[in-house]
Amino acid sequence: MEPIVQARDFSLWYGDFQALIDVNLSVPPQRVTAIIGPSGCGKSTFLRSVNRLNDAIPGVTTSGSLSVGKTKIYEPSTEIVGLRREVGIVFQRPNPFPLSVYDNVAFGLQTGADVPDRDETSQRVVDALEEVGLMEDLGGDLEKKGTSLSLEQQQRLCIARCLPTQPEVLLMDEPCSALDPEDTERVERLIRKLKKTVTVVIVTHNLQQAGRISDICSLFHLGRVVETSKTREIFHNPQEKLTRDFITGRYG
Amino acid sequence: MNPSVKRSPPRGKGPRVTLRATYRKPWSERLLEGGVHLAAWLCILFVVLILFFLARESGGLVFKDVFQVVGRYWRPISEPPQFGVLPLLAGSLLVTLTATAIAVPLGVGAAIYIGEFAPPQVREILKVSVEFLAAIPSVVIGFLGMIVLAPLVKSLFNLPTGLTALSASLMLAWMAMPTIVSLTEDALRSVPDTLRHGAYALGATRWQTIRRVLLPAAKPGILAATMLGVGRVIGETMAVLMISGNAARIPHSVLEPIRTLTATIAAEMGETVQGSDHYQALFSLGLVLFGITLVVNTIADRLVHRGETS
Repeated sequence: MEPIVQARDFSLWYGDFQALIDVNLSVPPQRVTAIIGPSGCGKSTFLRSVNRLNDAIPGVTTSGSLSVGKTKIYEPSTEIVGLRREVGIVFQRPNPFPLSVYDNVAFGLQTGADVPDRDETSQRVVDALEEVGLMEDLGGDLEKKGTSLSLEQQQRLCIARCLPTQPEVLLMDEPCSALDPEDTERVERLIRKLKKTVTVVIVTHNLQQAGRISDICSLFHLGRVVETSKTREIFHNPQEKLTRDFITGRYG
Repeated sequence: MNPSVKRSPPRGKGPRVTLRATYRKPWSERLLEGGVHLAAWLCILFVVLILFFLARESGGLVFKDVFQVVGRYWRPISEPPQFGVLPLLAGSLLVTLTATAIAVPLGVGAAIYIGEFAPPQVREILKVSVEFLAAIPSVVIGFLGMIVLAPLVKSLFNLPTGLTALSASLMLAWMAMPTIVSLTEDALRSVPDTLRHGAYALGATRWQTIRRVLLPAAKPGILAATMLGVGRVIGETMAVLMISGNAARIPHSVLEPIRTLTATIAAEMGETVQGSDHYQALFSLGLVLFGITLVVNTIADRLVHRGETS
């Protein structure tokens, strides 16, 4: 299977500090790929690199290559706005805009180069909200402020917000860490459902979560990839000692 | 039988103890608490006292002849004198609205530049300058307006005098700007970075992020900043006294001389006999100003709270 996100010897520095060291990772399409590892191992940095969100931080430099589909992310000719429409991201804490639910979800469409007409926009907004189950929850009241929803609904709103532009890849940076177990389960169910249409890369420090929802698992440690394999393999037949220690809780 | 259940006392029986009674405050604690209590109540007391004295000194002129007060002419020393508030109110409102219309776009624009675009060194320089601008005494600004701005306005619009509502508005806008800039910048700064990242991550450009996410998020703060700027403008006395031209007529354009409520009180108070009709009329102007300020502040308060609750 042709990988959709591919890192080849990708390194990233914050000033003098090297946060990612020769990362090689292939993310197959329409699978959930989990990136696990202890705090500060570079998993979030890697995730944010795929959306080029590290650009805003002064002093960030990269080497090697990182690509989404055919787009080389760090090529000077790459148009960031277009890239970000191909690659959505959901953050740790839900960050809905202080706008209505509708405007939150329509945001990605309306900021693009070719804004679809009103009918098309509202169709896609409704589809996205259906997909995450918010249409039902809100009883169709899309004028509600996004910030007035419950935390878990806010997070699903943030997921819905990424969908109307029909991205190839959806990045998730510990999307459930602010949620209680019941809400986490809802979001996890949603993630499993989403992988039919979109490739999901999720960063989590919750091993059980990685086990529950991912097809592929990649362990990061101190900026390097230790092991990438099918999730089942990682959990039951780890090849590296470090992976074994991490899985069994002896480390991390 | 579970022994632990047996041991626990039955619910709602036994003496109930109010927690407050069990905690004896040390005297220093009581003293401080009393002090801050007093400070808070003093604020209210002062407002009430100001209102009381304004009302007393205006001495029922309003009640004696209400039509005189809402009249169109302010001629305190003609015979018989006329104390119509309208021209002064019109002057104050015209200057305030014009100054606000100038100051708000400039102030918000400057705040956006300082908060979102300026490189760090430029930002520091700008912030210090804005704060310095706020510290310039209004008489100095009035002086500048008189010798620099007024002649410019005069020659630019070919007027008999440069001391006009426009000159006053420009100077007042300049004075209201620091308030608007720093409060708007605070409001923008307090928008969490996660919202910026969220917008960027959805492919929004910098400007789209500002217009569609940051400004709506900072709206309550920006409105409050605007209202405080308005409050500053409407209460300003010295600069308008010096550069508005002091003609107590209902103006037809911003290029005419006007006179404000504040300038009238400042200019005429020294010449009145205590307790005379003129004296009382000036105090009723004070009452009007008080009322306006109250309304402006209430609106500002409402706007801020509406932003908080929604």
